[in-house]
Amino acid sequence: MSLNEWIPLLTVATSLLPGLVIFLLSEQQKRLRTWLNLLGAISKLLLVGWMLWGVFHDRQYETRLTLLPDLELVLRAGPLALLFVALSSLLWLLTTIYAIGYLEGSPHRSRFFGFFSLCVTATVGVALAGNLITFVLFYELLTLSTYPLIVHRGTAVARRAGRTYLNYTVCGGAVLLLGTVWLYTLTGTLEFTPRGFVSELGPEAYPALTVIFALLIAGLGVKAALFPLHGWLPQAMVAPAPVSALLHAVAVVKAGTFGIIRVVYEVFGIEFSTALGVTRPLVWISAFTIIYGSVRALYQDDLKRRLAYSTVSQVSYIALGTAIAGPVATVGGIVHLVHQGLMKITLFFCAGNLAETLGVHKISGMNGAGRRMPWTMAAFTIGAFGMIGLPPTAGFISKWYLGLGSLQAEQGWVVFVLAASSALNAAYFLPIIYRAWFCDTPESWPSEHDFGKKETKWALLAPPLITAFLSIAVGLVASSLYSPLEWARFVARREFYGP
Amino acid sequence: MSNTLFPYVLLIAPTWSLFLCVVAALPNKTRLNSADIVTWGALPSLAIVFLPDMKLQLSTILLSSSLVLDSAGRVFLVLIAPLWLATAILARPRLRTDQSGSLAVLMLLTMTGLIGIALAGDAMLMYASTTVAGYALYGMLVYQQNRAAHGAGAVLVVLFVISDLLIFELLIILAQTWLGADFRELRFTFLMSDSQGFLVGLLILGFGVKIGILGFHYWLPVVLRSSAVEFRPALVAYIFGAGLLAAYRILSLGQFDAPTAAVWLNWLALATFFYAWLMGLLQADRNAVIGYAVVAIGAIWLAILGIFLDETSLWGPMSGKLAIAVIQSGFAIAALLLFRGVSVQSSPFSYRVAWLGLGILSAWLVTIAPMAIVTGISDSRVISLYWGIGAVAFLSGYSLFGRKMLTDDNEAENEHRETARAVRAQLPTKEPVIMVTASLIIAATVAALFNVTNWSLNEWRAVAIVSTIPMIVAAAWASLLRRFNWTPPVPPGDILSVIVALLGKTHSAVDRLTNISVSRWEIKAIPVLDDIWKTRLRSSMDRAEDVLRRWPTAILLAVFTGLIIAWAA
Repeated sequence: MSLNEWIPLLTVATSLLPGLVIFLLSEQQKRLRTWLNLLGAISKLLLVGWMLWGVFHDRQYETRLTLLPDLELVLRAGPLALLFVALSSLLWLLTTIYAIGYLEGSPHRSRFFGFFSLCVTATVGVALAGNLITFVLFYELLTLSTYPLIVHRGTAVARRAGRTYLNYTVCGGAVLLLGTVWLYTLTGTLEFTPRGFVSELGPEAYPALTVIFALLIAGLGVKAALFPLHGWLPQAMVAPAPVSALLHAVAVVKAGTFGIIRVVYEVFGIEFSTALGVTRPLVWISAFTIIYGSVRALYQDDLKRRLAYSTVSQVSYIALGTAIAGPVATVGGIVHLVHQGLMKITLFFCAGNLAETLGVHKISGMNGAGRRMPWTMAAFTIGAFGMIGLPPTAGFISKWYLGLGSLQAEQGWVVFVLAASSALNAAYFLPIIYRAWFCDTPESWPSEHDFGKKETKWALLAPPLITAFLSIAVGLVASSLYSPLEWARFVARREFYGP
Repeated sequence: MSNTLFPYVLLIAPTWSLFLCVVAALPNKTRLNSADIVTWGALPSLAIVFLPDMKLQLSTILLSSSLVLDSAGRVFLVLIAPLWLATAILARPRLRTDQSGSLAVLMLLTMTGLIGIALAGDAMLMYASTTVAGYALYGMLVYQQNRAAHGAGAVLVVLFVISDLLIFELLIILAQTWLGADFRELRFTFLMSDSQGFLVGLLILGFGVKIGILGFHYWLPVVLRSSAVEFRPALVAYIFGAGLLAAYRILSLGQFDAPTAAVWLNWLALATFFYAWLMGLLQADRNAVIGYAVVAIGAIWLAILGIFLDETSLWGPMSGKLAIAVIQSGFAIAALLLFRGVSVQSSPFSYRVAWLGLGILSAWLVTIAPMAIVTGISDSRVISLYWGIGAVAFLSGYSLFGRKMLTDDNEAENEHRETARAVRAQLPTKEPVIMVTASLIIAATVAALFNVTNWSLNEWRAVAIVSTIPMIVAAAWASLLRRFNWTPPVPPGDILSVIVALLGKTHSAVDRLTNISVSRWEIKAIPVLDDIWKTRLRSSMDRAEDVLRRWPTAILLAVFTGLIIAWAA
């Protein structure tokens, strides 16, 4: 095997190996654990950078390992895969730094960071999967590695949330597996292919293909939190803030939406999916989920719960962009994968900071938080503005492309869904910002920690500031050669709509 | 400097104020004096005005944006930069007491946004600049710790959200052919579109919010009533930049012929004049009266826009006059707004007379600003403008001469008094306000002189008849009405506020009714409806989600969702 064939596997291993070693460490070996975490995250980032450069210059990076006769574990670094891997790797590094600060002094840190690394391993595996069976394997590993993180606190509420999570994701996984096996029996291959591999089947297979599509989307829709399969996500917000960040921005929901993109574009192919008529219901469900999630978010007083419902809404933008079926909407959907990740992780980091530093969990208790924690709330404000879709933030670029794409695909009603969603986002984010910046500060906070002249620990403050900066930067320099938008255009051009 | 590099000087203005913004946000130890930082923020944009036309392509910014210095942008820079300087000078005392530096950051962000609007070479950058300026301005206005300002801010931000959504839809529709947002491409789409009426509607509503178009005007009186005096020039800069200039950039005046839209605009303007006149008369607060004068001025610009959409050939000869009228109008409105900012009651009589003279002059300059257009066109198209000028004259005069209208027998008026006290308590010292007001009046007068040099005596007489006489008559009449006290004052603001207040009272009544328990005839419908709205809707959604979280439901949902998708497909 050449070096290029090893690199995808190495990328997966950079988090797997440190994770396995961390499991063996005692609680006192804090420094070694920190170094292993950071070493894994940085080396993964370097490998991803290498592959990005190579793929941009038409190099191939592919690992093939035989699992069973005729069934291979394939890891392939295509443009779309690398977009997701790059996002996960970058945000993993930042989340690791954040988690080190957040969990300082708390018990079971080795267990936490071990599963944390496994979770990222699974996410990278999902992203790099070169066929559907590899995808399903890592998808299930993601379910299993995330569960211990959700129940990490060990409280009754956390265990209940964990059970709900397992209920949903195990069922979703089973449905996904059913669809995968059925598809394999029909086609004899599961290899992800640009423009799909099922279009060669005759019309007699179309009813079966329709049901298979539905099974795959239903299985993936659980993690993507599509209505009505989203029930686990708001409950899972009881997890520690770094886990919430991981669930909402880096790993789980992204794995679901990424899977939907893979199925629509690389299993069925966008032209065939449209001809089969399966994308239209997906557009309806996504549009409904966007509005439903926003309406539910309006009712929530718990900050993390409101953010969770916001995720339900925002992640559906990606599914919407995919299902609208047009080059521009595709770019909008794909780029929102990155943009939503940056903005949502900022918001969860900030929510964690408020909880950890001031003991504030409720929106009604956030009065004056901006005066006490100006940098945290500045980051939160940027993240929230991005979610609303205000220019020049990243969220605006996504909405712009989704809107343009929907008009090009002659589905103008989607523009009104986007506008309604923006209005609802404004309705549930602006009051938070108003409370934090312009209401009087209370005499005391529920559980305030004193960090001297600093508003909180640097490890808790730096990550949201970096992601907030990136949320503006990727929107502001959207046309730059190295922006996620340009990469999303590259993906659409080369993999889905190119000659 | 080479020709390639020279356009980069355009970057200096927005980046300078952004840089100062970062400096203002730095922790206490390194932060310079906020007041000084903000004062110097507008300097580069003043200097840029003197540069020749140029364009700077910023291919990596947003969707390949550009900065442009052209005659329209220059006009607005000439207006915006001095108004910002005025704001910064007047806000110095407040900035000195602002320990956190947040106010300086908000002011500089607003300034950056306004400069961006003036220099934007494409719709995307303009939209971004409008948004940055709008939300930062909201922050500035709400920064004061008084209840009325927060209420006004809430109104403002809701309307901004609506405005942004309308503009977003407009831009999306215009950009769908090109995928970019260059003004020339968007204008071309506008010209070629089959649904021009719809597009004009979106444009007028979207940008009209910023200039207080009828129906979306409500924020202007309430914001002017409660905002700090020193922020008023900035507010005027925002209205002109984010409202007028932004709309002008997208419309192809001189090329775009839309007679139907012109008729609609004319009627909308007329309706606004009468509404502003009526509501201004009913106000209990002089600042709110000026607010309605500003609403009427916004409608005058709409009517002028309508004239150019109706007759494209007028644009060429009139565009220069229009530009100067914009500058004159902006400076004069700012002066008029500042005039109400200081109290000279305890000053010597001559001092008070001089101050009142400045007020009259600023009202006069506001009134005659559109006269250059009226006299230049001189046909039936400008009839509605006379009504507008009359309304502005009336309202400006009423704000100056109207009797003291407040009494203490009304709860709402007491609330108004509280607001007035809160605003007054934060007034800057009167000397800077007087100097700045006088400077703005001088600037407006200079602009007026440019415009009136070719006027005849008859035209001057027409101006006098249109503006002065109604002003005096109206003020006297209004005073008479107030004396008999048969027109109810409408504090704080507008008929809409009355509707909102009535809704609030209805809700309170419903609340009270729900607590009534009459043994024989319980009113069941009202508590049930109230309960549905307040609790059951929410709890039923919660319960539905609880069901969703169970094992069997999860399995069933997964299967049924798949089947439904299959069926639908």
